[in-house]
Formats: sequence, structure tokens, C-alpha cells
Amino acid sequence: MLRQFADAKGITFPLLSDVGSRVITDLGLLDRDLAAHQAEFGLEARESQFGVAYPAVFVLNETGHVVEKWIGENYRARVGPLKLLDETLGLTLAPAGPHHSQVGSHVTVSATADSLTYVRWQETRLHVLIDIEAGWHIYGRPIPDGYIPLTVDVESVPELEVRSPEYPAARPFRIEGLDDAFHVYETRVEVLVPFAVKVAAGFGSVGLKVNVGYQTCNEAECLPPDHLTIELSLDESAPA
Amino acid sequence: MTQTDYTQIGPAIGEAFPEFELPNADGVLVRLHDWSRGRRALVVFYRSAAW
Repeated sequence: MLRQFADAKGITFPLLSDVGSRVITDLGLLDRDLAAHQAEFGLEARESQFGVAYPAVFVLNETGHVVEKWIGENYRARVGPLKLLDETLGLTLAPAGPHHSQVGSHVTVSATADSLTYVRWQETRLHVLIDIEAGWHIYGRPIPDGYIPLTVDVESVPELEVRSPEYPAARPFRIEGLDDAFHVYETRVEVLVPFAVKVAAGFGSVGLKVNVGYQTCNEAECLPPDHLTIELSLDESAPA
Repeated sequence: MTQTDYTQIGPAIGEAFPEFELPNADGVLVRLHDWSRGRRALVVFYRSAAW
């Protein structure tokens, strides 16, 4: 059966069968939460499903030692390929998803998802890219009270489970005459927002509304804080 | 909802992944470290080819 599966999917790497889940159990990877996780989706676990491992990926180096690992909690909630490659191998591939942009005050903001479509329950990411005109900067955190740091917010809707945005470190910045420590972004900054689409099969397109708040300054002045909204939609992927 | 600490399960970072031997799609027994033999490897646990 693995031979048919491998041939059908064009898989050339070894697929190993752990009948009885002996190796899975010895490694401590037997999914003992299967019934509870299936219940979260309103499903009853089938007899034939017990014995499955937690979804897991181990990256081994040349001496067979674990250098990275990723364990999924629920076999239905998988990680999308771009996110997995990035987090386990540090391999960053360009997102393929719909690309939408807005022009603001001396910035251009664009948003794109890891892929053109969504896979239900799959952890994927939104890339929010802010291009800043030369000679200008926007504030990042930490920032003194009263100043507006870059904020990226994906509006919460029932079909999306959105995680905290990941902001890169901003550059420390001193303003003459002020003691406070500022941090700024210049040229280009990318904020990643992990999310998953949690809907029933056949739901169709899902919309994402991204709000970006920022304040642009140069050496001489600070412009009033501004915000932009970008909307994009992802289509449901065809079943595998 | 569940009590499992997912960071603690399975071989830890820095640990040598235990050797194991399992049959491949053609029924031939494969040993992990014999197969990887000085190369980097990805060990992926998938649910089932049947469902």
C-alpha cells in the first residue's frame, strides 16, 4: 500500500511502515490525545486511527544528532511547507500568495500569504512588507510613551485563528536633546503573522483584513501617525 | 484541554536520534543511520497512507 501511495504522489524518499506502532511508542511519539483532538473537531476517533504518532519533524545532522525538531499537537493542524522549512531549516522561500499593496506617507505596505490558497487548519503565514523611502524611518519597539510604533493587526473573524505578529528587532536610535531610547526601522521591514483557517470543507474563499499603523519621521520632523488597511482573500485549496 | 507537554516528547535537540529498523514500501528493512550514512536527514512522522 505504501508502494501505491509513493507512486501516486511521486515520492522517491523512503516511506517506512511502523505496524503496531512499536517504534513510534519507543520514541515517545504515540499520540495519546487523538480522541480529545478529534473531539475538538466534532469527530469521533476511529479504531484504525489509534497508534498514529503526533505529527513531527526531526532534522538530523551528519552525525545523526537532532538539530531541530517540530512537534504538532493535533494531526489535523499541520504546518504549511514554507513555514516548516523556514522554522526547521532556516530556508526562506518567497511567498507565492496574492500580493496587495497600499501607499502611505513615504511608505508602501504590501501583504502576501505563503500560498495562493489555504489548506484547512494548516498553519501558514502572512508577510507584511513595509518599504520605507530613503531618508525616512518609522518607529519600532521599545518606544517611549506618546510615540507610535509599527503595529500590524489582522482582524479577528470566526474563520481565522491568528497568532501574534513577529516583528524583527528595530535599530536603536537617539534623538538629539532627548534622553529616551528610540528604535526605528529603515528601508524595508517584514512582519510575519502566523495564522490558520479553521472552517468546514466547502467553505470557499476566506478574507483577511490587515491593519497597519505607523509613524514616519526623518531627521527634521515627524509626520502625524497613519494607518493603512489591506484586504486579501485566499481560495480554498482543492483536496489532495 | 490536554495535559501533554509537547516540547518534551520525542528525542531532544542535541540527542542522537535512536537507531530503528522498519520496512519500506517494498518490504525491505531500512535502518535509519545505515541509510543516512554521514548525510543530514529529515525524519517525518505522518499519519497514514490509508486515511
